[in-house]
Amino acid sequence: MRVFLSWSGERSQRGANAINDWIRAELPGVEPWVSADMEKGVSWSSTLLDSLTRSTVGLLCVTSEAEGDWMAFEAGALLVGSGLGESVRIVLLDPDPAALAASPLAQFGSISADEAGLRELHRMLGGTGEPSPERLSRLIDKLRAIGTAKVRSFELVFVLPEGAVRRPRPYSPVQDMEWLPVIAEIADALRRDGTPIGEHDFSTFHHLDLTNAAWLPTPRWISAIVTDRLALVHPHHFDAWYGDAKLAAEELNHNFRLNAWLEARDRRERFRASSAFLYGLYLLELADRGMRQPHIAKLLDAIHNLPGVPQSWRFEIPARFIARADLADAEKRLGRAPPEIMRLVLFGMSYYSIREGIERLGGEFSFEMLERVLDQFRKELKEIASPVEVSQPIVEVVERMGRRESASQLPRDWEALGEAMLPFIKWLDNAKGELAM
Amino acid sequence: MGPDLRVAGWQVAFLEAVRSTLAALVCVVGEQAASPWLHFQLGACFRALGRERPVVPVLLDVAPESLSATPIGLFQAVRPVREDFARLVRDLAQALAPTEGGARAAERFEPGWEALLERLELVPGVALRAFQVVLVLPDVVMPVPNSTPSADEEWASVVRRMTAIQRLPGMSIPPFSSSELECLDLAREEWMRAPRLLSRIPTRNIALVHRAVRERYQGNAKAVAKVTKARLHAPTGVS
Repeated sequence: MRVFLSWSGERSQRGANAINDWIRAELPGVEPWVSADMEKGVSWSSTLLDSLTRSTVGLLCVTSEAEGDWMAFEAGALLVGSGLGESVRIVLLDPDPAALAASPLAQFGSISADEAGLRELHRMLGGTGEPSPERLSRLIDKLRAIGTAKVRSFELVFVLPEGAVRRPRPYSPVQDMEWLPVIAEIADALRRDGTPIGEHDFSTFHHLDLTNAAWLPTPRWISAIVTDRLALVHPHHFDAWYGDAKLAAEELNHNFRLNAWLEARDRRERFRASSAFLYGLYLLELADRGMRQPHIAKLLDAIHNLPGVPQSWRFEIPARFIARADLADAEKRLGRAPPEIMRLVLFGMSYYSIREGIERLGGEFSFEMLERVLDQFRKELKEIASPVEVSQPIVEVVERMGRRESASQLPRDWEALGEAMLPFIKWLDNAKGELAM
Repeated sequence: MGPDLRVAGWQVAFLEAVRSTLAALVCVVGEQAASPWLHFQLGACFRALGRERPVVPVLLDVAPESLSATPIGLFQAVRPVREDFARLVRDLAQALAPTEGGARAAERFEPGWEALLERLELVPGVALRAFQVVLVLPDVVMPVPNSTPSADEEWASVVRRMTAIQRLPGMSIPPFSSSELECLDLAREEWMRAPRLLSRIPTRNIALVHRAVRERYQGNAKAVAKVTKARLHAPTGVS
């Protein structure tokens, strides 16, 4: 009787080798074969196929890590060679049998790697009487020594269209578990903490090793995660990076270093894949950065006429793009243009450029539009947590503006806001090192 | 044709079918290459047919080199190209009908090849997935927003939509037609035959490259892909 021992992964191999040794010692008439028995220098594929062809009994040594495509192949061959799998067994070294339900291995009966299971295996292989208690005990010890799969602590970040988690957070599993349900649990926990994570099919996410800038195959078990910094990347972002792991890792690592101000700004600029707003971004940011304002206004007009574009974007897009013209003015006033100013300008903090952008689009600039920016600004200011002496003057002006009954006084108030912003800009410029995450 | 593995008791039907057959062609479409069920069937075919009768993986969207470390790599596979299938027909004829010989089989193969290829291209893929298209025109590199398809459709209709972008108001791009665009796999940096169905797109990142750009780079796929990616991050168009 020739017994083929199939394994996949280091722990599975150790289990297969231990069972191989036990069968040889315990059942002399049985001829076990495990690939470790191959002579060095022979054609491994030919030897493997020969062994598969000659074996009528199969033992598939399954651990929680993975079953592997080779084990599936060998299982298929053994199904045919053993009369529809009657003499093929899964040896469960540590997995939950239910985890194999959707696997082709579920065709076969299973035995557990304990005393009862191994006695059953002894009988199945034609053993008469009882197996040697000493040898059985030694085998059980060896199989126990394989232990459960090793899990490591790592940092984890979700890269989502909604930008829910912006920096890696430590995750320390206590035991090996199936990974996809664990992701769902982590996402639930983050939601309970108030992190806005939408509903996602995490099985479609890509796994990025942030340390080595390499995509990892989707692990089935936590023990298969072999990095200390892991990013779970939504397919939309994967596409945006053209599947380029280096580019993705560079961009993410750079983003993690951005300061809290940028994080607040990014939250404001969340957009959904396939939205017409994204369409606008593509056209304006990627097609030609040198476009002049009239040209941009014309394009925006075309975008706004696309079906499904909310009216609110008539405000959002110009605030985001047309405000660039004010950078020169800011530079003149401060003598130089720190990056924060550019960001503030892009923030939509220019009354004139917002008004101009909206008017170019044929829209009417309204107080409500401005209020939306101010509301957003208040929230973001709070998140930045700047010192009171820096933020208080801004808050005061903003609140004063909020009490206006007509839009006619806004230009003057807006200039006051600009003055109140200067200490804030300087503080941002000085504090950016401390704010870096 | 093998039995449907979703039906209970498929093992018996499979065994009967495979034991009475002279050769097995195992068709692999896209992500199926990673399916343990596919490897399971491959192993069963191998054991049932033995080492004398051929087991041939037919790789519809998968590069053979990407499977060399898997059990599929143990077998001589064919791709859906004329040379591979002509060789397959000849070898099968010689092995299974030696009296007829490979030459006559090859004669019969040639007239039917295009029709067979079309049928192979119309085999639906296993899943629809999101993909991204970039238009690469002589002076413009433009990612075209695209959402995850909700239903399978012909690739040609997608290309028609992509080319319609030139008619958007304010789009100052030189006119072009869909027949002037060729497909480039941006991830692998190689030219690809245009798929017939969305579900058979072998990559997530496709560039539709204008023929003039291709000629400018003397057909060098890697060069066009690298320039395209660079322009996407500092967009000024391919010049």
